[in-house]
Amino acid sequence: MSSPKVIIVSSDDEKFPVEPKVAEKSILMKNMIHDLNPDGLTEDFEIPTPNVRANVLSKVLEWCEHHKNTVFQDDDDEDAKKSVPVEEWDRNFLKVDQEMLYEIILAANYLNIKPLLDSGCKMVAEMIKSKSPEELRRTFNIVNDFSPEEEAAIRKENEWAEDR
Amino acid sequence: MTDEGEQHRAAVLHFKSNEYVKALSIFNQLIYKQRQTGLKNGKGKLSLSTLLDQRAATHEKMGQSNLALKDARKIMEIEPANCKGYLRTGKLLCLMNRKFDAYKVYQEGIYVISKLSNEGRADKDEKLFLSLKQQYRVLNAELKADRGNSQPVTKRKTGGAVATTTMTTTHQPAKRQRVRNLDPCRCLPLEIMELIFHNLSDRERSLCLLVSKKWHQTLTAFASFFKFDCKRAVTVEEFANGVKFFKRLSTCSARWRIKQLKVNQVARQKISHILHSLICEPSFPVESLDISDALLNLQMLYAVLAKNSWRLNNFHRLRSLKLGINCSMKYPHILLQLFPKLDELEICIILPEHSKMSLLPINDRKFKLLKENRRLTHHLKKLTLVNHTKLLKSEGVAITASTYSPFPVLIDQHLPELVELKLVSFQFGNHHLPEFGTFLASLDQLKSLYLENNDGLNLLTLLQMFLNYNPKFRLLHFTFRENCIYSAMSLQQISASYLTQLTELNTLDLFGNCLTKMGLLKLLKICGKSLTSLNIGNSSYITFELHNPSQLHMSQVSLLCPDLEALYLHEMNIDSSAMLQITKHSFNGDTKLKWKQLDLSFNQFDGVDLMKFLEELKKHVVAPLEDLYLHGSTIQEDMLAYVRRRKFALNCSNDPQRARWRVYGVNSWIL
Repeated sequence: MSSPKVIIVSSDDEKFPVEPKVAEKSILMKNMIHDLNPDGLTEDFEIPTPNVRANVLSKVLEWCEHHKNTVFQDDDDEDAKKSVPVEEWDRNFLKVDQEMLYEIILAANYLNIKPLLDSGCKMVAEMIKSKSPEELRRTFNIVNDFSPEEEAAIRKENEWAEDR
Repeated sequence: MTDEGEQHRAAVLHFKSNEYVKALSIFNQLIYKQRQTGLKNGKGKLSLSTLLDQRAATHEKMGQSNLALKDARKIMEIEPANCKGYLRTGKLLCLMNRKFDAYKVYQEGIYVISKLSNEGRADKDEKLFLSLKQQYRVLNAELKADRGNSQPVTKRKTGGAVATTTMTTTHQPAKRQRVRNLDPCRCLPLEIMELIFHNLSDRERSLCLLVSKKWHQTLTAFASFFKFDCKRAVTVEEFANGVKFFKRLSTCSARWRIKQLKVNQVARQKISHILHSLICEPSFPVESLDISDALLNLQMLYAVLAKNSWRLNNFHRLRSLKLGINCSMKYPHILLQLFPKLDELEICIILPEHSKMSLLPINDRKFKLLKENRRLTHHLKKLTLVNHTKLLKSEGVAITASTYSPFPVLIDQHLPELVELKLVSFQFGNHHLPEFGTFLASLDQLKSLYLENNDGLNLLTLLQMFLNYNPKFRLLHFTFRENCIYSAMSLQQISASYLTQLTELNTLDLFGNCLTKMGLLKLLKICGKSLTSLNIGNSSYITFELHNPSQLHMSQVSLLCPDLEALYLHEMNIDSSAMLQITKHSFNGDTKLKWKQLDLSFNQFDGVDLMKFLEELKKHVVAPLEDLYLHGSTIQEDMLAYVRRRKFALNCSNDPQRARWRVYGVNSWIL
């Protein structure tokens, strides 16, 4: 008999059986597993994730599976974390369309998977980096709803800033 | 071919030619036989499941759904790892318009089969399994579309429909054409946008403000992101617009304040205007203030404050004050009285000019009071005072007693919580030394002491003061840079066992020291155990040359400092023969070094010497060096690339622009 699994159920009722170690990458699931099974898992344990649809959940679990043995630094220093670039594997893993990326970020936030959330946010930040406002609008399909006067006013308001 | 095989072929043929009744009777016979002979299936084509599946198909064609369903369910029961059972049952249920039951069957199938195959108890038929998954997705989307008809379509659901339709072209869910919403500010909640914007620089954030109203609104919700970090030579108008911008941010949060305000020179000599508006702007609390200007000095600051009747509403929470001024520090103790919450004070003389004392509001009553109150206690944590080198050496600047004092200030105050003290380029006269000694003795919390280019205070004097005044602090960081070359210090007079201030040192920086080899080793005996970083660059007497009485063997240093990670040996006149000596005498037997940073800048050895040294070093380090600095050497880029390739050092740099510290380094903040 193999060891008991955690069955994660997506919003559209698809079931994903995974090792407890993989599920525990999510602090939310980790807490659920330990709170409801104080003596350890003896049989398969089902966790519904009503916010996450199967496509996204399978992606998130792929990440958890890959990182099941990774030990993440518990770094409280936000500024130190800021300077660390996204790890190569995560970078390739997150090369998905923008909607998928946002959904992964939302899922990581809901499931409390901090390193995945950080990587996702950094990927979005990189899409924003070194772009002009016009390029940003094109990247994110945004309509400029400022009048020319309003835009000029905002520019003027920020003239004090360093022009690097 | 067996009898059964023949019969089975006939049945299939009957089935294909739509003669279902004939096919059915053969299937019935075959299934009966199979049951009789027991379940020894799984080898030939004729497994019971296959027969049941085919009979179910036949029943289905004949419109006998219930019988068909019975067969299909039987397959699920006897062979749970077989996709066919679930597929057939699901299909039948769909035909009977029991879609939700069908959906559950598919779901069960996917779960059971992947579980069994993951546990290695069954091999799944990949093709059939994929088809099972696909059926499941199609049905799921269909059911959801039915459910969703009554509800408004949320972003998530539409995204799901788009994704599933790409996989199943046969199925047509209720598709809606729409503009794809890719705007992160609309797709993601505020707390996640905060994380995203956190990864951007100030400049990038200010560009984001111009994208759209939504972006502007989102960004300005995070008032704490913005630092009021003015560009060089900001104009009064630009500054005023900036104040307006920050005031508008302030409406978003109740406990709002300017985290950091930095002004580096004001255009057209309008510094007093800026000071004035900072003081008078209603509700504009500043937490950290950093102002430098060629016209700024303490006299002017007091004058502007006196004019505004010492209104300090905006500075009640001032924690850090950094001033770049143009003459010596006049009555700096007034600052401590004005800003009681100050943690950090830094005053730096950026121009060796002296401005008129007439600016002082000498007739102001409050000013007189502040000026008289000379001895006070303040909980300041960090104090940095930088005099101008030119003032110290009185080069080209006419000095009059009323405007200029080269002597250290604030050392007569009681600052019991001071953690960090930096004094640069002051002149310690004979009567200042006892005052400084008493001051040091009152600093129980001091962790970091930085003394550079101070006239009249050399390392030997300071160590003697440590012994005489016996301050209680235990330093972690100690930097002492002499202002000229003194006669060699062997520290014989110092009894090492009483220098408790240095026993826990992490970093020791003795750039330009006048110690002899014995003197250095004596110091290292005291602090070497805890030391991780040592700088003995530009030592006046210590050398690596052969036959020199002060020849230092690196092995002696590493013996005393087992945990050393960073070693700075720049400007040490290391030539080929000295490098050979270092290579010979750096290592003791099997002891592994923990070196990570090594600075050999501005020395005269060549690439061959370096290679010999690195080859030897490699055998004696725990891990390759992280950084190797070779600024100002003749070593070429291809040699550096070789060093990196051979993993002698991960990073290896030679910046030809880099100036020697010896020439430029003292007082390196100054313009």
